[in-house]
Amino acid sequence: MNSNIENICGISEITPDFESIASNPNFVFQPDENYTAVVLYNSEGSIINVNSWLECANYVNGGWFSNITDLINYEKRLFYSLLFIGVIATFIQFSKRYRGQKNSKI
Amino acid sequence: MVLIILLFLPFLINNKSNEYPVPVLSEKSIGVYESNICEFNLYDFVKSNKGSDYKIKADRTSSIPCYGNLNGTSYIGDTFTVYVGTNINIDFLIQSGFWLILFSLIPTSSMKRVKNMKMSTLISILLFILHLRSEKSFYELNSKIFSINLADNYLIFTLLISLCFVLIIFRKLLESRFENVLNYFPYIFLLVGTYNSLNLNFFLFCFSFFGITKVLAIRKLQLGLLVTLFISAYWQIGEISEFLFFDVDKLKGFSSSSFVPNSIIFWSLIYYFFVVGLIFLIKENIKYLDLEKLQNNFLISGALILFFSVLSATGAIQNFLTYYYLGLNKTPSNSFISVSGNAWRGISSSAEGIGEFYAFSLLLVFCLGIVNKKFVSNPFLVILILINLFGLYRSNNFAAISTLVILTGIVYIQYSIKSLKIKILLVLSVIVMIPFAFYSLSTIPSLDGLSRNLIKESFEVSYLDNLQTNQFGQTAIQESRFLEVLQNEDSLENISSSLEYLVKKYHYSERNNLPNLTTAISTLAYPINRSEKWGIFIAKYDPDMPSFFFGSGVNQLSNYYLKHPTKLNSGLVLPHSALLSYLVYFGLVGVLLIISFFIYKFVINKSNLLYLVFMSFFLLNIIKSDSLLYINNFMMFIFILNTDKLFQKYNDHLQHKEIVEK
Repeated sequence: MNSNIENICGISEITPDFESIASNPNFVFQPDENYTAVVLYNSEGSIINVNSWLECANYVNGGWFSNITDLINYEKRLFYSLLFIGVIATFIQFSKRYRGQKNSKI
Repeated sequence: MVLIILLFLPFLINNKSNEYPVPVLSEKSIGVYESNICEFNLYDFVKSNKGSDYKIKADRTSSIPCYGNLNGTSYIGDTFTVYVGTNINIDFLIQSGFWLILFSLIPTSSMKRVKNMKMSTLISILLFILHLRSEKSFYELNSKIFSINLADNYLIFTLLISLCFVLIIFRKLLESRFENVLNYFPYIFLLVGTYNSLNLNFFLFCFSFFGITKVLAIRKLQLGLLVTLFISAYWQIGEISEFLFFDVDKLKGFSSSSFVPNSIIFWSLIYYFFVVGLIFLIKENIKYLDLEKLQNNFLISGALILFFSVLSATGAIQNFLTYYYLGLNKTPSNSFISVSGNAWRGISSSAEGIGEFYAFSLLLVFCLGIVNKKFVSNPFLVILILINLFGLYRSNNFAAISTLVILTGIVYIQYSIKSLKIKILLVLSVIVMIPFAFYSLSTIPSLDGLSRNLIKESFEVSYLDNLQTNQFGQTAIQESRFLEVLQNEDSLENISSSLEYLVKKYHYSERNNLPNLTTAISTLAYPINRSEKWGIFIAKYDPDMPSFFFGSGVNQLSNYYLKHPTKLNSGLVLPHSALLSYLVYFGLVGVLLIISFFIYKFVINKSNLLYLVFMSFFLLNIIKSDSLLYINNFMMFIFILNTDKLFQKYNDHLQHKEIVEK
């Protein structure tokens, strides 16, 4: 079984048959009152709440994940952070130069 | 303090392992590591596995969130290997940051403005993009999301903005330390500066940037740039074969990983800018060079290299951190055992290269001591000399040791012995002793055996497995009937053009008591233990006429290595001679021009003994070593090549001092 299922959905004695779930369009997941709902995400940014271990396992098996960080484009964040630092540094540099020029005029 | 924090912080933060205890590494717990990818950080792992035996390797394809965390484990042949996530963007920032901090430790001097900053930065960025595009396959292996499509490509945008920062900070640091930089030159052997996940080197880009500023300012250099572009265009047109990936291994950062038109133009330009940058840095700085400081820094650097070599061999974490923060081309030796029972390379990628460094450091110290008639009295320096001697001994570079001894002897004779008769007698006795030493150290075969040695070694690695055998089971090669192999059409396809040429030379040359080309090369190769390596080179080197005369591009070994298949096509077997490597790069015409330049340098400096000695040391060593393929050895060679005025001035100063004393 996918090791992510245990990590995300927890441990269960159920042996899921994902193929039969996938092939049955009328399959309905029964909510488990004792199961704490888990929020899952997919690569397109969709969010779903799952209310049973089997439902969770089925989605995780299909590539859904629980960690929002997997959705973040870290390169983009890093780029904008560096750009921000660059703009601040340039601003400080210019203001220093401006002050220097002003002082020399005085 | 900042340095220490930078050393460990990346592997301390990003801790997700609070939820799970980090298990002790064993066959049973390996599954826990495998199912918790990117959960445990390196620090926690090391803390939990103090007594365990394992290796640490970098997983270069990791995503940013997994940087510094464990991305996999393997258990092969009783050895656990742990893969630590590293990322191309983070590596570039952290490694550059660390090296810039180290660069800032050079004491400040009076300010020297670097002009054409904006334009040079822009050109550097364009070169960087060209590099990334030309070595696509290398970067795809080092990043899962690497793409050369620039639309929304934040991986490349981040690299470019990081490069801008690095160049701006480097320029600021260089401007305020300009006059002191050369005194700290020897540390390039300690801090190699090769990026973990890029085929680039910190010094290559920084000094190229300085070179670009010079090219933009000086008209003659712009003409040189045009010539470079013209030659690289010729190389691009001339070569039909393309290789998308070549494993640069220990040459990482200073050799192309692909052979495509863009990589030919990139390496031609960067090589030109780099050499220009280095030469100008040396020329504009040489008057500020303090020889005593330089010699001390050579010794300290040598001692630190040995210290880190020993440290990195004592444990996996030390080994990994040394590799990462010193920017080594490959991971350091993880034990004190010598390779093939002879040489120990330590943190250096090449035992030959580091041997030359140690020997040169000692040569400089000994020669300056002899010339000044002032021998080292400081106990600290004596210890440093002993450490460097030990490093030289462990590198087991016989050529470097013997040139060190002979050249020190020559300087001693010249400066310390007044009688001309004794001088001549000593020089003659050394010259006579050399062949005897060779005879006593090795069993030299007959002249015929010597001549055939190289060809036999070449045939050994060529694909010639279906040769007919005689009644004793011997092939034509074993019976030294080489011409017969060439006459077989099936075999001829698997024989390189250079081997074919040398076999023909060997058989058809006139018997006029003069050695033919094959005999001459083979006879030279044998006593310096290069028959096998040069034999492999000849078996692989298969140029057509244009590339034999004009080469196939700077830092381009892939065409030579992969074009003609031999039994040795995996693993990096280098030509083991700068002459042969440069024959691949620039062709015969290029090599002859370079040799002519050296002869010119020797002629105009004929009275400058120290310079001649130092240059001879390098030229004698690089005939049989690949050290010029490594960026630090290459930089040292360019440095010494441009010190003629320094040693001339030093010589004049000493003579003047002597006259005054008299």
